[in-house]
Amino acid sequence: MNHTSGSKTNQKMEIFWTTLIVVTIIAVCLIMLYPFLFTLSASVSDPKSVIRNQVSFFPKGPLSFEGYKILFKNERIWQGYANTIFYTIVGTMVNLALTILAAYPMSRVGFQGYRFINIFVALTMFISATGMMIPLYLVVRGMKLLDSRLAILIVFGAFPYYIILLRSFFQQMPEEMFEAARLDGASEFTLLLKIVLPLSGAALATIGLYYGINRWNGYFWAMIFLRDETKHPLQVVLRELIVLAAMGEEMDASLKRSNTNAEVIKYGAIVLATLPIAVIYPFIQKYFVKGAALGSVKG
Amino acid sequence: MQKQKIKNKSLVNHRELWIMLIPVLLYFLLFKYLPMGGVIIALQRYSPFKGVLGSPWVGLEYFRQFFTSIYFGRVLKNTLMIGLFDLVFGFPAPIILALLLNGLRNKSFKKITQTVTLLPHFVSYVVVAGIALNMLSPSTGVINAFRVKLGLESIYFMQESKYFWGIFTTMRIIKESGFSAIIYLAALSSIDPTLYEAARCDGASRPQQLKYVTLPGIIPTIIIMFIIKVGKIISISFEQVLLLQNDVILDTSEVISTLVYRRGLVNADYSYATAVGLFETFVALVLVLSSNALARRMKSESYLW
Repeated sequence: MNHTSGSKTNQKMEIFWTTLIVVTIIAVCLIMLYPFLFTLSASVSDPKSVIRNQVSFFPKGPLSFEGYKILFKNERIWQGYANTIFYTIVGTMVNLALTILAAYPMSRVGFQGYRFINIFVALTMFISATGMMIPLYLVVRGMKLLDSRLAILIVFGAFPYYIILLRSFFQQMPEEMFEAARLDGASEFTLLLKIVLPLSGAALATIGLYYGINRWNGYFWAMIFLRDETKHPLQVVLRELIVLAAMGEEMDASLKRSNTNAEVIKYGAIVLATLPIAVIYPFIQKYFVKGAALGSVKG
Repeated sequence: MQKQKIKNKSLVNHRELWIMLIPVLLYFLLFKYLPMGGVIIALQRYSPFKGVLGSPWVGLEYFRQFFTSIYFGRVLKNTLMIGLFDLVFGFPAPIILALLLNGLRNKSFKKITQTVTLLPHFVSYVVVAGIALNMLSPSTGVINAFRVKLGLESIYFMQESKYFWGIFTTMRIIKESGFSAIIYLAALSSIDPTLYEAARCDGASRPQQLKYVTLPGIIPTIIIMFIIKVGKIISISFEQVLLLQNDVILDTSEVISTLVYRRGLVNADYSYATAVGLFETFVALVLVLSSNALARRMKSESYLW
């Protein structure tokens, strides 16, 4: 076989494989995007075409914002939004504060309690959430924290894994820096505030992001701890509005809904819940990938 | 002067460090260790009015009840099968996705596709489950609309037990593949590019490059991730199962953790639920510890190579 024809077939094969990969990945992306596209389309379609199941890709019928109009008047949604924003911001601050306060002492060379704290923190990683479900609930009840916003904020105050991650990050800082500052009479609190934290922006952003997403998306414990509806975060409201509603409808599909708008309301609610994340997402993706890759190194 | 240098280490102000630790220690004591001690109620007929100290001891009664009930076999089977589905279908998915993404030459296209595949991970399970339920709905779901167009009949997906494992696994794969792929992408990016050049010079086709360069490069990561995943096979996130579950399909969708939720938090059978949870904790602990030990050994071995 002569050389040129060999490289020609090679080139052809190269084009074939590249095309195959590109086509497959586009198909994967479409599968992942389609549910969101469908939801968006359905939320602005004519409610009647949604009920007749005529929406498949693009909005059907004249653009209609019926669902949104009703949603905007729904107090529970806005209350849920406000609560979620509160739980996310304050909760993430609690998370970061506790994580920093644990990671800093653990990262100091010569700290005598290192081994104890390390085991004390790491041990809790191996206890399954299922096993702790009932005892944790009883502890929170025993502390009279049921139905209190405080419960949501402090019961999930710090994750051992992130403490260990941040500790490793702090440990990489040059020790001479600390020694010099200590000789100048700086206290540990000053060191933490003036030296360590200003140098940890990226690490704190990454860990804070993970905590934040967790806060924003959580529903289960809020549903368990809070009976007062005005304290419910958005996800609990959504669960009632979307998941339980869809279940009920599945159970009794023949039942004619009296409200033609019920469907578009559901889709609109999904869009409202996803929108903030979709907007912020491009800006935080970088930290997100960094955090996940960080996890892979630690295994 | 010399003395001071030696004592440098003790310049660390231990007292201040301990003061910093107080909130964290309190947090772990109250919300991690206190509940751990609380599992003792699995051995009692716990009554909230009498408390842990006043409730009568019943020994292993609740464990016996669980092991001899019809739930035990069913719940164990569902837990293992969902875990197995997740392992068989959910484990390879991010690897394939990472290989595909890695095969893209155009940098900006690669970036866009990764952004798209990562997106579902950000969205909450409540929303994802809501979308899934709506798409599967017999009356207004796209999937059934499509089936009707093809002349097939509508399926009540969420009312038939046989679909649950598949639906749950599919939802997880679509949501998490992009995120899990990051780890493999990191491994792929650490493969020496000169290996590919050399392979191309030797006339290796794309599949041959995959077989002789790419796969050997990420096999250690794959093995370690697999071992870790096997260790977690029994620990299915109940918050995810719960969202897709309903009373009609409990026979395939009830897993250990949702049973704990239903008996403990819904029916207030605290002791029974704690016993069931304790059983899960024990099995999960054994699995995770052994898989971690194995993974660590593999890791140190792969350093030697």
